[in-house]
Amino acid sequence: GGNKELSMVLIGESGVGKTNLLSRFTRNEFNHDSRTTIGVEFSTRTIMVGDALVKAQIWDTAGLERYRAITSAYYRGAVGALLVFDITKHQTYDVVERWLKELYDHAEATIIVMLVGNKTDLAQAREVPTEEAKMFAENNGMLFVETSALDSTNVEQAFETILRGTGLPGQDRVGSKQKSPGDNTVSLSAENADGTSASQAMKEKRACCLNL
Amino acid sequence: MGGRGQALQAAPGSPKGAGLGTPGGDGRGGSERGLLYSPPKFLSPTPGSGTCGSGGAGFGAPPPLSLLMCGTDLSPSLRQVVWRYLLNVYPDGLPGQARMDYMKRKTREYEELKGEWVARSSPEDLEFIRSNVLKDVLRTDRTHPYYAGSEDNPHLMALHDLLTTYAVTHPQISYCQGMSDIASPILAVMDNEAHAFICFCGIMKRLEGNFQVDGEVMSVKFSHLKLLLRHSDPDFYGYLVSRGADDLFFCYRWLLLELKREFAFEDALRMLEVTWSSLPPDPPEKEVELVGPPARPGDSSQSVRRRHMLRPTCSLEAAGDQLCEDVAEGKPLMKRSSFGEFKYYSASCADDPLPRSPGSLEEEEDGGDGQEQDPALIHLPCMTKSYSAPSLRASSPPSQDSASSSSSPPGNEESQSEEEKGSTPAPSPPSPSCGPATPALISLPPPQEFGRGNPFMLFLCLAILLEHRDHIIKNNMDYNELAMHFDRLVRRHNLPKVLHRAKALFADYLQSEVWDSEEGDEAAAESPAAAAAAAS
Repeated sequence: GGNKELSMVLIGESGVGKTNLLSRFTRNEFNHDSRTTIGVEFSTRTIMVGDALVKAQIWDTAGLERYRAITSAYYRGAVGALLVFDITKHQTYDVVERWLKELYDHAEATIIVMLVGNKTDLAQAREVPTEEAKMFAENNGMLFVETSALDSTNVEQAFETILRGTGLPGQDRVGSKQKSPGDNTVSLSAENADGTSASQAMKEKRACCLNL
Repeated sequence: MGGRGQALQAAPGSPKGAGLGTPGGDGRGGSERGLLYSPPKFLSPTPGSGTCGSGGAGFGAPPPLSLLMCGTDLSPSLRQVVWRYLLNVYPDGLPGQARMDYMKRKTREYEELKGEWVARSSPEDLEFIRSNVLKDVLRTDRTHPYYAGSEDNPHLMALHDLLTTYAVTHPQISYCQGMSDIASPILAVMDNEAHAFICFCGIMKRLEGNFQVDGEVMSVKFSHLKLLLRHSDPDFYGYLVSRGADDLFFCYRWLLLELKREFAFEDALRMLEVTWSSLPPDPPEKEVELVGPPARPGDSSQSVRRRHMLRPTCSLEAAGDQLCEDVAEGKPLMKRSSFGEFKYYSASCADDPLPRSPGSLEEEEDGGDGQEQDPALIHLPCMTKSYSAPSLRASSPPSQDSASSSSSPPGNEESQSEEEKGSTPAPSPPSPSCGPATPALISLPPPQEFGRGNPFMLFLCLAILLEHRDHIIKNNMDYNELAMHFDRLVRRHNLPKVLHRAKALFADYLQSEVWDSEEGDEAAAESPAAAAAAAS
């Protein structure tokens, strides 16, 4: 199969764990002392999707950023986005809608968006119920998953679901104008009513995905 | 300048008997700068470079880039004092005892402001500010001993309080990510929350534009860096264009934080003070303002929080193009009073005798513990003839090749080694006689406009780019690889190399006077460099 390059973005409020999600996925690292992201930083990882190598370029954007010309510039080429909030900080969930609007204002119409509730390792401090976020995601045409960059829960799945969804041969949604993100995401979520619908859906087809 | 000599006398009332060698107190910016200490070092150029003090044609005075630019290291205690000058904390002409009183008074003022958080902002806004500040403080330079350890490290609380106070007292700017990076080295050096706050106000006067919502200042800085790269290395610039990377977005953090994060902490301290010492002094007329203007009329308390999500109205690309046009038309991009005095610095340096009576830089107001450096090493003030640089060549080349030759001086070590490496067959920009590449005669903005208040920083950025250009071209890096390459170099850049190169490039820029601005032309015409060029 041929090689593909796909780019996706990580967005969401400052401090929700975007940078550690990325480092967990690309380097299997978690850094307690990670610094605030200024502007945009990024990493890549190559994964196998079907018989194709997909090189994922993942842009990690600053959560609190006044110079949004920078971050929004990276939205443009992105095929997927993880919109991350912190399940222990309701405020980071409250603004998800604004981030979504920001994204749809500047990204391709076909972009696949996954709502990611991060920090499940801090379950005792949870402020955002799983069901609430999941419902919101479904109503807004997003996939949904809860993750922990600290203990790795669902991190691979979050990224790979997006990449697989956009990168599968014969299922090429990149540039496709026929399907809205809502079409495919809602159906994916609806199939699985357990709060980790995306990752479950992911696991079912996992055989086709090999990490390099 | 009659008052000057007298002012150099010991400041009456200073406990150690000698003032910091203050000039006439005439309010002129710049006289109390320079921080020239250890004169022998002043005269010795950076090893091998020939850029710091080699025979500048037409220069009666020592090289203007102050000692800090020439490789002198500061002790931690001396650094505390020097930084207050470099960050324009002291009004001009304040004698020793008055400086101590001044810092005491400003400290009290800070303590009062710190008690006014609740009075100055709504509970929601305050909560929002504090949580954002805390989030960042807990991940700012935590590997440095000063901020390391558990989250109840008092230095973290000091950094938090300082930034929160700033946000509350500067509602138009509030807090924005990146500010903790600006404040962190200052607090670590000052080791005093109030003093750090005062210094932070000093530096933010110059940097607040970086954090403005409209992004206009950052757009200008991008366009200036772009111009500079195009001017200095058309080939590399062309390469970036071919990869669609000429937006230079990967330099965003460099420009926003003035490269603070690109070097290891201790290197960053040095880089910062070298950079600051290259700027014309901008002392406050009376005293440094600790409170900013009130929130704009239209700003509801809600919008303080909402603003974080705002998009700048001026898109980067559009702004860049417009700015390029502005530059080409010679429109001054910025008026800054401090830079309006550029002429003054240039002109007055000549009659400003350099060796000064030793000042009492030691222990100004901290209740001396005697750990400060020997004050005899410190000579203040001397004008830093900011933006003047020693000539790198005995005679200026004819004007037609000034643009290409200005990119790097002949004999520049790095450029030689680059050529030796031979990693790219493309003509290297440092070579004045590069044939095939059409010499891009791009005029650069004059120093008082270039980089919106910090031209040297642009040259640091340029130096970093040039350090890696061969590697980038050889590996045919695309946009993303490029960005990742530089992301990996966070805190790892080689300071001596970058500084050395940047100084040479900067000096050459000042010499070349390929400036395109009426304001700049005037300034250039009165600068010693221009005089030298005219004489040759």
